Amino acid sequence: MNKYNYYNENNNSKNEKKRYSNTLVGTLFEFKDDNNSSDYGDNRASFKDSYKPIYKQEVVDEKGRKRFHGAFTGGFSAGYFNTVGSKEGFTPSTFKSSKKQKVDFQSLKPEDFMDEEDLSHRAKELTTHSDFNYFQGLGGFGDSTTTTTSNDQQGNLNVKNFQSIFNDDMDNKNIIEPSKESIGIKLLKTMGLNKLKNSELGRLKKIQNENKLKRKKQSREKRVSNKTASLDGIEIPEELLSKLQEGQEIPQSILSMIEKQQSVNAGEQYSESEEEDDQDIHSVDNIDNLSEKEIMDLFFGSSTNKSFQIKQKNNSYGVGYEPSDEIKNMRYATGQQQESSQSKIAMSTRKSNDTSIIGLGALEEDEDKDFDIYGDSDSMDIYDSDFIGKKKPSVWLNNSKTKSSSSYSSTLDFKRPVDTKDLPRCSDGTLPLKGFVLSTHTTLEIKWFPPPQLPSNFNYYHRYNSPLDKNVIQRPSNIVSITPFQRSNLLGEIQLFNNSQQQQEQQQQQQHPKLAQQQPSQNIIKDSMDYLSDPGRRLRFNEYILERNNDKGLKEQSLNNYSSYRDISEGEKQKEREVFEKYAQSFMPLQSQLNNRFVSSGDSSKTETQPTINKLQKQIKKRVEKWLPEPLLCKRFGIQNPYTKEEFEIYKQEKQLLKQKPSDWKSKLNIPLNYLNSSININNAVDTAKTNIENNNINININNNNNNNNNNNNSNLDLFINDKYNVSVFESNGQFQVKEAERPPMDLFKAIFESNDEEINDKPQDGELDPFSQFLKQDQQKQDQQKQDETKSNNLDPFSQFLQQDQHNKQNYNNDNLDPFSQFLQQDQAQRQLDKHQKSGNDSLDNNLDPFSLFLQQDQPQHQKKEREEFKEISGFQNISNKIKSIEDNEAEKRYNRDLSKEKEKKEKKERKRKEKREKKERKEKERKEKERWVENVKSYLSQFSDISDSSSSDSSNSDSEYERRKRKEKKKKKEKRREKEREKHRDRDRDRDRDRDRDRDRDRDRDRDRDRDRDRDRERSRSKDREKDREREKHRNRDRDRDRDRGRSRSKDREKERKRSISKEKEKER
Amino acid sequence: MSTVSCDRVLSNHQGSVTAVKYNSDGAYCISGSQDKTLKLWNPNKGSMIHSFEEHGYGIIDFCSSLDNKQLFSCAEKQLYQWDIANGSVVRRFQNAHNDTITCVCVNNDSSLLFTGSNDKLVKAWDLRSNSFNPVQILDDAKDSITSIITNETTQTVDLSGHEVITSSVDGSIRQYDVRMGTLTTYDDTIPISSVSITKNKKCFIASCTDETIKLIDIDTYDTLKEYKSHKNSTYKINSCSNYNDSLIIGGSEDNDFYIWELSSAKLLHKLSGHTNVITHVNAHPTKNQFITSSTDCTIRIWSTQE
Repeated sequence: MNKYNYYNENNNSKNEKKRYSNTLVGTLFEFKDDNNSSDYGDNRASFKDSYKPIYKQEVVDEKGRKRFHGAFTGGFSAGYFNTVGSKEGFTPSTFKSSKKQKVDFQSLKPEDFMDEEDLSHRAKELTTHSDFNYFQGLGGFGDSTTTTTSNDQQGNLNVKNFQSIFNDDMDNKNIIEPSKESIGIKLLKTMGLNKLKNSELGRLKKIQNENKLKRKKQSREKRVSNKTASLDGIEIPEELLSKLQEGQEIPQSILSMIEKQQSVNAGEQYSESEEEDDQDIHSVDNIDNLSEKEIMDLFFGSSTNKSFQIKQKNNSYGVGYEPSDEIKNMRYATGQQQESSQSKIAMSTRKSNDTSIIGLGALEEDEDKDFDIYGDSDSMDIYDSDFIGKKKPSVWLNNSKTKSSSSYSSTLDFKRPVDTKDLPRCSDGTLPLKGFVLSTHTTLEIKWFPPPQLPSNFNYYHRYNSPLDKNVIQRPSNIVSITPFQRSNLLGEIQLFNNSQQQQEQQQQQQHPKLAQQQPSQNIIKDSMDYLSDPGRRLRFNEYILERNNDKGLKEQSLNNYSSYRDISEGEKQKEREVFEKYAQSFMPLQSQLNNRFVSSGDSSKTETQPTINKLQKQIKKRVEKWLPEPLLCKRFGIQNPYTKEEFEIYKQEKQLLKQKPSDWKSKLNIPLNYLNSSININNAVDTAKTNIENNNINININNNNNNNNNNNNSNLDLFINDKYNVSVFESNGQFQVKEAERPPMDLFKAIFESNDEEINDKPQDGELDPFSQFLKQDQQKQDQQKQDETKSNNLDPFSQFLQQDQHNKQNYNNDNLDPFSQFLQQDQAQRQLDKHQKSGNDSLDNNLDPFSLFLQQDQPQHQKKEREEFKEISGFQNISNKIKSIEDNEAEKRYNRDLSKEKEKKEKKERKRKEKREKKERKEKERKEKERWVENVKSYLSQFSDISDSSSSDSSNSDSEYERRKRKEKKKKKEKRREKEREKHRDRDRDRDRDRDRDRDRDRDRDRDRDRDRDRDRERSRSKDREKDREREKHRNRDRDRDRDRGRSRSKDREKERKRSISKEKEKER
Repeated sequence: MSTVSCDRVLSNHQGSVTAVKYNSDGAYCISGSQDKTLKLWNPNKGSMIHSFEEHGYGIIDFCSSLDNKQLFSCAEKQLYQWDIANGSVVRRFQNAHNDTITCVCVNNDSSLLFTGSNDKLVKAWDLRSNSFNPVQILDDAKDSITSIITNETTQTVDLSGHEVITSSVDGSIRQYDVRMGTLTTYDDTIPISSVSITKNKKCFIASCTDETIKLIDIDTYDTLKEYKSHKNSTYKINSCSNYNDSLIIGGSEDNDFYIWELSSAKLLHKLSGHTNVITHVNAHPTKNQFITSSTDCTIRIWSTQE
């Protein structure tokens, strides 16, 4: 835990940085943190101290006000209590406007309707904060910009991030950090800065800030002291210390880095905690970390605004990521030549466990998940330290030109590759790093899989399942039959008359001899090529041809150039001539053919004049067709329809047919799609099934309307006349009717998929049943057969199997050793079996019972002992008989029996069910009786101790069965309720009587006070407000006083009597 | 010999004018333009009366009913029925055609509307009912329909006709005789860009894209005369006869307006004025006044002066 505290602190600071880096450009928003953690802490502490039990606890808000109100104090009453000030709620504002005081309409903000709670729930306001206003300084006072690197690091802004983004030369593109001075200081500065230096105010502030710093340092030291050891005023994390061996010195570089880090942290901590401080102090706070000179610079230098460099981002790292020096050095190491002797850092294997950037893979154990692998360089420097292991960066990097900024100063010397020619090189030609060895075995093997082998019987020629329609094979190739000449004629192309005619003639001529001629001619060409390979001879040949063509001008030229003939004698010359002649003759037709193909532009212009087009144009036809206007069209035109409706319909159909014609020949293709469109007739499924089984193949006959086909297939048709379902494709008048494909009969599937073994089972029964049910039945039968085959139904589910086995075992063993319950179970079962035996004489039935019902039957343990005893005897007998039977019975007999039994089975099942029902009923009755008995016994027992009167009313009336008991209970309850009600009524009555009594007394008094009747009346009224009926009566009485008096007397007497009676009754009841 | 000169130039359109037509009595004219508007003009005064602006595309064709109350216009696939008096759209035909509608025609009692389209179909719409389905679809054409006219005469028995005549790019003129229930086809190979009928209903005037205007006998389908020397090979330029069938007028792609003598097929006038291709010509129903529209966004009114 402690080990990683330091990291965590660092991470905090990193997070802080991240927060800034998220919003880098532009005016930043500040999140107002209103964490008053200390307050909460206090509350919690107090709460912990004073623990109360739950019932004493009160829900109270942070200000100690009660939150919940209402009946159960858990409720919530809205309105008055904590929300608004008055009992009525919001005091309604009244509109007041007078001459003197005009109404000023203040637009109400939502805040006006919020209480503190609401306000606290509100989203935190986002406001601009001058701290983050990067561009404030741009318009500020100082124009010139000077930079101090230390500023960058300690400024409130994360200037570093900026640098990392715009990583370029710093001179040109600078962004000026905003001055964090209040306007006052700015003004003061403009007034005269020197005065400020000496002014007491400045000094005071300085002292104050120093004190503040000290305090903070102390507090921080307290915090850190348990984790760190301080060395020379620098706090060293314990984590580092632990790694140091005894006697080992901490390298200075690390120390410096730690110091730096801490100072940075300090700065950040201040910035975090001291945000509420006013700006001046804050700025000075930072300044305090600087040297005196820098302070002076800040205050009195020409530049008051910090500026920071924008560096171009030339690397390919992510935004904000600054690669550690280690990584940078790796780059440079590859690019530079360096003697290996100069490399001073040894990659000591001893420290390989340490946290260095290399090897900090994601897969390594990450106890600290917050650990930032790609952290900022300045925090990472600490961890680099072990890796470096020396005070100063290596020399070669310092010397190098690439060292452009201070960030590169801390360097790493990598293992330079040893440049010897013996060493094998990497694939890119570079030497492997020292300590690395090129692997001879590469995993980058391209796997090549041979293509899958085709099965030997695979035929890659497409074959139609059925012979193609004749019309398709001998399709009139209208398109092909047109010769190019005809086509060009049709298209109205300009004819090269001579040429085409010649060609035609040639074609006609050559059609027969050409085939024979072509072969030698090709040979001649080959020979000639060989013969004329000699350049001199070729020249002579050309001359000869020219001579032959009588091209005089050219001939002269060639004659002048007679050098070609010089070397050869006359005889040879003659010979050559003959050969040339031969060749020339063979070449001529080729030449002429080629020549005729092309026409000069002059020729074509001549042919154009020939009026071929005009002739075609003259052939203009007048064509009259039948056209049927829609009836409505005629109606709109005000004309009688020239055609009747029927004609119209016919015409329409014809038109449709005409339209469909072009797609006719496609339908003649015997594409399997046709099967879908076929209509299938099923007349007698059974017959077909039989025939199918006999034939063991499906015969699908495609019945075309085509006469030829019909004739051809006639014999076929005869064959399949008996087959009731012919898959026939109807093609009538070129129209293809798509009918919904019916499902073929189940027999078809059966015939295909079922083996012949089941044929025996296929009994010609229920021919009229639909195929599916038939199929089902067959399936059932199969199952039955299987059952028959296995003497014990082993194909049942394991549970039932187990049950049955158990059963059998029990039957075989004598039941003496078993516990009484299971014994009883068995016997019960045995009894039932016996019953069956008596009826069917077969024990196989039991196997067919479903296990659940069996279980049910077994699960009825309450039987009388007498019965059990009887059963025992019988079961013993039955077991013996079972054994005997099992020995005696052959399987064949069993089968026979089963066949018989199956027929009986249904009846028996019914009977069994009836029996079970009966048994159940009997059992229930027995149970009831037993219970009754038990209850009676109990009663009788109890009656000895209890009052008869009480029990008799309740228990004695209890019936034997539970149900009845329950009913009675309910009744009793009802009765009791009724009684209670009656009692209540009585009570009410009594109350009324009492009241009456009082009234009577009053009345008596009234009588005494004759004169003040009215007053008393009023009093009475007031009392009788609650008793409306009585009041009415009284009113009535008041009206006829005299009568009333008499009645009152008599009534009072009566009432007293009644009361007495009622009391006596109650007493009785109570008794 | 009379001279024909340009009386007036109506230039209010923002786009090329695709069609211009007189109303039934010739007092007004309506023009449709690529600027998506139809405009009603008084050609004698040269003033624009109303601009019908509802279409989303450039107007390709329109026609007004004989009673001058209804206007039917088409633009791309839009087909609108306007009330001329209101200037408002009365009805929008939804999904009239699957392709650009090229021509519209209404019958005399404005009970039926015929539309031809690039989808090779002619559709007859019932204007008496509100059904969205066409009364009949004439799908005989092999190519885009270029023009439709109705030939209805009720006065005389012998000339009575209830015909719908369509011209198509496939080079044929189809004459649907509703009364007889016949379709008479004039087969040719040259695309016919427009067909019109002479006032005496005896001849077709078909402008073909081989730069000829043909006078075709309505009964025998013989080509009686061919009028040439103008340029028309790419655009759809119509032609028609004047009120008394003495002249044939036609537009040209050389920006000129051509007038031939009907009987002799002699070119009488070649009138220049338009600065771009003439798209549509129309003749006044009662006098020798002609109106032409052009892609130079103007409409010109021509009249003869003795």
